Amino acid sequence: MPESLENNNDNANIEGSAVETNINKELQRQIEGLLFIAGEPMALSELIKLLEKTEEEVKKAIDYLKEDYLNNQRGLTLVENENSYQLTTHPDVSEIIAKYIKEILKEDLSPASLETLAIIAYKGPLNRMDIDNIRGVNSSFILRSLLIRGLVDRELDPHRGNAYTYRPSFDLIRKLGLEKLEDLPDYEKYRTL
Amino acid sequence: MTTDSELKTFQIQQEKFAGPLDLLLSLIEEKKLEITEISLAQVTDAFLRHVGDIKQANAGILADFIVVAAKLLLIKSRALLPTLELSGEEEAEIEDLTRRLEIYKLFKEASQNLKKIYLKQPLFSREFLFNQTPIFYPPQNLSVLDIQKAFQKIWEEFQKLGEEISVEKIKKIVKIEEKIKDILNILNQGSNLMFRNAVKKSEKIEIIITFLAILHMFKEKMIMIEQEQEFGEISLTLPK
Repeated sequence: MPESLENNNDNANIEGSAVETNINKELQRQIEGLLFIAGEPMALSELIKLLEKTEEEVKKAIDYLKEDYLNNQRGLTLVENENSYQLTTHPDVSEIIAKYIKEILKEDLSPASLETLAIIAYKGPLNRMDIDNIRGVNSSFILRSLLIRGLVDRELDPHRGNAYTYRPSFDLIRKLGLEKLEDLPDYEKYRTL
Repeated sequence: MTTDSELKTFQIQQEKFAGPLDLLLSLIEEKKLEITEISLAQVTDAFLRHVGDIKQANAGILADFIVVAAKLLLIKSRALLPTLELSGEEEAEIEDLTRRLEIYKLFKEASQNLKKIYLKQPLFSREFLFNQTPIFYPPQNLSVLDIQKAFQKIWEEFQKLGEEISVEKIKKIVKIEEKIKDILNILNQGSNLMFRNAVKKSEKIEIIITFLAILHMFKEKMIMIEQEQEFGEISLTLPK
């Protein structure tokens, strides 16, 4: 059976891909439903377990789902961070959503906060020593306030038992109106510094 | 341990310059110079003057500035005394400072990228289980008799309480609704209200009612609450 597909038999190929598309479509709908009901980010591993599919299949379905949202100019989109996914509204509709939920969107970030966030967003995860080194100043005060505001997440540094690494939170990515960190302006340029 | 005033000084410093590299960079850019050893030598005096101004600030930040100041002095000395021999380590330190300043400058630019897009077109998510109707799943072995017994028990408790509740006590308590009205009245007149001033008689019950009132108002998005530090003063304002 796999051989007949590889033989470039036109018929078999078309049929094969049609079946695949159907399976994928079904998977997309299931993922969409799950992410909708979860509300919060879902880990790829959790989706794989629930859907009983391979990582490749789930990832592919997510890619198609994203593309579908984009191509059909829908009001929703998917945010991706650290192999987790969250269903959110599209940046284009942010104004009307803000009007509806009346969330206070007037928080300001000080230059020091912005600078620290930029370092974490472009280079994270990284630990405080690395952040201090780039900024040339002790950042513990700023990091604490960013943590409290939910803009960064921290976890124990796997390489150094007594230190934390800091990474951008889902909340930050959503507040920046991005679907993933890689969409930050000049991401590669700063990432490789 | 940082005192309030130290914290304040620190914040002022933070607002002006995010750190020694920020100060150094702004001094160089003020003079429209490139980041080179020569330009670092040129801004050394100005840098030291600024460091003099932050002497009052807490020792933590001052130390960060002094580390940079020491390197600048080294650079300046060499600029003035071309014959000055520096050790390999000192040479490396000078190079390190210019390199770090370059990198800092790039991240400073990157932070402007973030500023441009932050909260401009945010993505919203559904809150987890937002709008979820609570569902009661009774345990499998629950019988009508159990419910009846439980109710019987509660009923007996009520019977015991009976006359113990004095009408007098209930009367005294301020109603949450009244409190909300009071707070809104004050907020509508002025700009903001401190929690401490929202409580008239400092009785425990009134404090609790006032606190419940502001929690309720916050939940209903009627007010905004700010508290700068743990156990600090709570400030109430109307949402913009």
